[in-house]
Amino acid sequence: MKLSKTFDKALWVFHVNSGSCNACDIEIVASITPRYDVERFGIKLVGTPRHADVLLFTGPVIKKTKERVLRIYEQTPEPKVVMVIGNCASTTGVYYDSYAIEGPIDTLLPEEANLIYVNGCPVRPENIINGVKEAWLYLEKLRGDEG
Amino acid sequence: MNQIIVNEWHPLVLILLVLIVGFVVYLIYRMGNPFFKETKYKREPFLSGNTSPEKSQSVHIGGSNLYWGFTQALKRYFKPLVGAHTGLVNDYLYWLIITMAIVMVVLYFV
Repeated sequence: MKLSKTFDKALWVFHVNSGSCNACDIEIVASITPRYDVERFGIKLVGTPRHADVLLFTGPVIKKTKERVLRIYEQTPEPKVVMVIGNCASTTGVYYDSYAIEGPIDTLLPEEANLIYVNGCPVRPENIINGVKEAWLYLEKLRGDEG
Repeated sequence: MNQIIVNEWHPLVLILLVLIVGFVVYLIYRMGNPFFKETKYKREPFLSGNTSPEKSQSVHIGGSNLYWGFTQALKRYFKPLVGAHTGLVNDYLYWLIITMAIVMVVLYFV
């Protein structure tokens, strides 16, 4: 898989709440505030998946959002990376036996999806920044430019 | 006598043009995203993950609605004007005669 040079510049991120309790969402917002300020690295939240390189999914996927999650995933142009933010998104967490749960995000997305897990309940902004850095390294690896 | 006629249609010129345009189109095509894969929802508009409504529900804003805000704002001005356009020549002639009469009266007193 050969990536375009545009990935050297900045990663644009689209945030999807697939059923989160809002704690991880608040931490994502905290990471773009002046204290952590990820925009200095060119990481920016965008308003549509059409502009995004990275998708942030927070919370377990519930039955009502399953279709929406899949639709947003498909509407994001390739190449893309999915960041699974928080314990609930990766394992469904404390909601594991709820009647409303469809499953963790990685069971619903296609096999070829590039997933990066950022764990925590809720995740710390430092951890999110570290996750984006990992996404960056992963994308560089996909480009075949590990140096 | 051999002579070259300039500015005249020639089949070879047309074929050459088709080849050049085809090459340019191919270059533009090559600039596209090589990762693109057709999937179920790929071409749908992004509406926060919701399903896109059917075209029949008249959600599509056509070219005739381009000046909707303009005509809506000046509705009080346009409405009598549209009403006055009856399409009857007699009506238009009445308007002409009335306007001319008004102009003549005004000019008489000025």
